[in-house]
Amino acid sequence: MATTVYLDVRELKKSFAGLMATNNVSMSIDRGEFVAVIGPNGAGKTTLFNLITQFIKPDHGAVIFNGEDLVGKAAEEMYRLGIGRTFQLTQIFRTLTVYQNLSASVFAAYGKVFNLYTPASRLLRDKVLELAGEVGLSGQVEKEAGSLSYGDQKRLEVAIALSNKPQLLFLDEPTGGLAPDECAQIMELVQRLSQERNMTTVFIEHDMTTVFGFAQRIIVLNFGAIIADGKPEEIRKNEQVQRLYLGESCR
Amino acid sequence: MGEKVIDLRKELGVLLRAKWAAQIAAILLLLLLFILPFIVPEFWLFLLCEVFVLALAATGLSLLAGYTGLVSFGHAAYYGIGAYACAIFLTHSGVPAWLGILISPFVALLAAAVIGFFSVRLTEIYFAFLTMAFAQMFWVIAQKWGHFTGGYNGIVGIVRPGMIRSTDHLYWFCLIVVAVCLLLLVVIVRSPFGLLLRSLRDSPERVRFLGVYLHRHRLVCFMISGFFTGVAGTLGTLIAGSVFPDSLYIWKSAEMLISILIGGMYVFPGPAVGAIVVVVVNHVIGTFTEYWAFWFGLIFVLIVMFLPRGIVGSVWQSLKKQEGME
Repeated sequence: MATTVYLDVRELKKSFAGLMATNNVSMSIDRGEFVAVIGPNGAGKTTLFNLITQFIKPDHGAVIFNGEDLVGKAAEEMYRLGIGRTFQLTQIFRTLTVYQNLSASVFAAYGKVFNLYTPASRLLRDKVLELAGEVGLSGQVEKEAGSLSYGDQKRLEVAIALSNKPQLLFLDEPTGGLAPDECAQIMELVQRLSQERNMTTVFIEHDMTTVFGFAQRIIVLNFGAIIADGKPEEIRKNEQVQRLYLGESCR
Repeated sequence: MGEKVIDLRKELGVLLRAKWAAQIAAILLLLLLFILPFIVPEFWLFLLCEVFVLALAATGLSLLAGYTGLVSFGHAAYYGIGAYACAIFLTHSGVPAWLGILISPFVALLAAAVIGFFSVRLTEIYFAFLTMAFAQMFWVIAQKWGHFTGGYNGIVGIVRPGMIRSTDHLYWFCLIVVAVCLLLLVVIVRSPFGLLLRSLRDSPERVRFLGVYLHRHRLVCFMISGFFTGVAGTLGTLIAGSVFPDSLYIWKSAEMLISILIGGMYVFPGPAVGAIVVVVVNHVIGTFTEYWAFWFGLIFVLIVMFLPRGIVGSVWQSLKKQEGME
């Protein structure tokens, strides 16, 4: 367990129909870091996540995780390697109950997805309920996931992504569309779990209060390239970032 | 917090009661069906056999079309291949009859493995059309490959093994096979595998990031689905004593899909109930008018318009609502 999880992104490039969505991005992240990725709309934040997690294939570059290059691996392999993620548009199993959502992910974590005979409602029950408790959904396990409040849906997706205790977690706008108090609750939850598990967490966020309130380090993207990378104080003082964000709010 | 716990208990109570009721109803129904040969005339037994076969074929398809969200328009392929395999084993070959009957569904499984391998890469309309194209291909083969399939004339005069030669025995045999198959399907639907099928219907991306290989999971589902529809085809040949290219035609696929839509897609007994409606309407209306297809279409349209969840789905929904209001 002593090995340092180390994510090393090297010269990552991706273009869509001539548009450089990710332009030569290099960065490295240490074990246990809590990192925010910010940038204006279309800066390539989600694309960067998709490239790292092999949801889409990069044109060029390498993504070294734990000494292994992820490029060329299937997206399905990320889970086994200990990389979890959530999506910008919350991806949960809407027609299933919260309990079923969580048990599907627990079965995945325990390699039971090809079990064709045990009733799913009885298998690994304590693990499922434990997971529900961890994200504060214990009281709603029998509810249909699609009927949950938006904040609880986000919680549920975080729980699904956490099911196999990942070492590295990518959260794509975990608080998008939430009220400020709900925002803080989700971020506190993620922060607590990251600390408890010594999990490296990278999240995309638009709300600056959340970003500066929680991130230990901030990476700023614009036009697919990193324009700043540092501690919150440094980013706050960075002129280029100031111009980018002031410029946006003036328009 | 206290309120929530009570709520939860009430909800669980409703589910448990519903489950008990469903199990008891299923056992009673099975008993009733079992003693029917002593009560009703032969014609009704044949009609019921037809219901059993369509119920199994449609439930097999619903594993793929309902639970997994991959609507196959070509499940006639597995029905027909099961049916033809059985017919060929019982007439052309020296294979012992029972062995032939046993192998036939596995021939359908094999076909489902090959067709599935190509089809599960697609979804929605593309998936529907590719599966339909494969089925049509087999339909043409059955017509043209005369010395093996009997061509347009099909294979007739198939003699059942002695043990199921009488109508009563045939009926019991179909009842037992279909009951066991439906039970297996219930187990599969409720298993972790089945849960993952529904999960990947709701969000394929999420499932991929749970380390589940989509295509592999869909393919296994496709094969299981094809197998059970193949069992239905095998029984179909035994009941009719003949097989024609019709069993591979698009109308056969449509019959299964219509059963699913009429009964309800996301409730297990749905396709079986739909099958009852389809078979009864086919026969009853057929005796009154030659425009049965018109009336059939009208009934279908009305059900889809006014009971979009199907008969069983709508009943289930309203029961849930009533219990919730108590």
